[in-house]
Amino acid sequence: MWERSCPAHRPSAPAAAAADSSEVMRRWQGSWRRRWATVAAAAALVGAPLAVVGPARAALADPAADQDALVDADVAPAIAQADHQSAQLVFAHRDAGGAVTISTATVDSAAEGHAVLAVAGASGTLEAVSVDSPVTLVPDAPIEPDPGPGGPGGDVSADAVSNDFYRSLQWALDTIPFEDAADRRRQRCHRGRARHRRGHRPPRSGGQPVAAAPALPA
Amino acid sequence: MANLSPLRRHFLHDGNTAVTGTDVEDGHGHGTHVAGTIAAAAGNLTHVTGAAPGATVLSVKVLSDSGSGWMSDVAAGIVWAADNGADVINLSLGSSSSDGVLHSAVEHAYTNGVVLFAAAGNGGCTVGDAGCATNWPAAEDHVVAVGSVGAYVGVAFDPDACSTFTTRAAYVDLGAPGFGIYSTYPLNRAASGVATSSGTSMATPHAAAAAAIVLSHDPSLTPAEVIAALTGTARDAVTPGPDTCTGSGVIDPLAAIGAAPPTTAPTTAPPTTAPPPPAAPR
Repeated sequence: MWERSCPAHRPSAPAAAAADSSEVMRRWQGSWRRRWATVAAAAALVGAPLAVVGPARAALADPAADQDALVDADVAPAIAQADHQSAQLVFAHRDAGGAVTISTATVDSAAEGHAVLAVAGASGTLEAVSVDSPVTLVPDAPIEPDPGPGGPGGDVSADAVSNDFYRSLQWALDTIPFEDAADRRRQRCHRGRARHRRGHRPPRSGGQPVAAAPALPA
Repeated sequence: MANLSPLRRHFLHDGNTAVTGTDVEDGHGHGTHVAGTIAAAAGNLTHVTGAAPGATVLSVKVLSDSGSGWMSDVAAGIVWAADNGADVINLSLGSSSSDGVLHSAVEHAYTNGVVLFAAAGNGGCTVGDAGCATNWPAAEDHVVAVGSVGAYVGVAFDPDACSTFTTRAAYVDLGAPGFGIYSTYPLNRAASGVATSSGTSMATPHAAAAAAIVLSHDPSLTPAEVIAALTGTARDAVTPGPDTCTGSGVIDPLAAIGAAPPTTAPTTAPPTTAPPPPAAPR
């Protein structure tokens, strides 16, 4: 538990009392709303996580959490430094029904941090507390120079990797024609150009024959 | 309605709601590319077909148009997706730090039957070496970390070679194509509606789509069973045995389906009248 990991910063009685004050609650809830407003104002999604939706569900596991592991090791230092640099805390609450709620609170002082933490802990549903951290999409990767025409990551590699992969999937799906006539013409032209330019064609991986689809179980 | 094979059955529809319940427009392009790899419909004008074209994508916005954000929003997005019917979550994102709240969100999703995939990272290094950061949430327990395969070896392209950009680590579970992936892109970012990208961000949706296919074959599978089907049938690559680039190997969706037997057929006769109405969205 946080108090155990950093006893020097155990919330004091005055801080706990302050936790009940409307000012603390107002700031906490206000910062929570600001965070979501910021997210709502963002114009577009970078797209992750993407969730593929389906029917399978499993029973909810026991939501019991180890109270000693609630607070990240970096929370106490962040609160201690909050007098100089505000910190954004993130809370995960799990109610008796198993529902999880993620919320945040920006604290501008160590005292406020202790108070907010005390309020969260008093809820009886707190599962984890962390300091918020930046995250980015995994950007387009730098890739090694492509020795052939088409440039790095161009159609040559796409043809060699993606299409074989999709052909393999097509074998499994056995329902949708992978290539239409335009695709085949385009690929013939592409391969012809590639041979003409550099005298060879890229090796093909072990794609499965589309026509050899096995019967799948009903 | 024609009979649909289990593989073609559409999953839940109408998932077009963001974490905030507002805007899910993709102002960056990365998410559209990833989504296209998973579920682009066959026969569209882009000539891109997703690896699981029968799946429905539930878009959850957690990062800004610049591609950055906060782990609190990622955690909230995971919880939201799990609570709104997701079976598979693709996380083509990462951070060098983890926290307990992210862990809680991941565990909430996993225990609710969701399989999570995350990009191993594009560090081009081996975790453990100086300056090579662990990528979270890929390194989380109960998250399948996906590395990238596909690289030029000399002048020849080897689809099973470890991509030079992929982060190699003990937490990597699977490998998938991530080099030169051709997929959909927002029209306001690419006039053709398509773009080619490389990275473990592009490898991850291939694995997520494979999980969707396995689940469509047998929706009763638990996340552990889906993961076991994928890792147990992965094609050994890069080096003999498990390795830090592809973990158990490169995904093989067809073999994974074979490893996950379909649900036992019902013993009662099928109805001869009109099919029942579709289940209400969850």
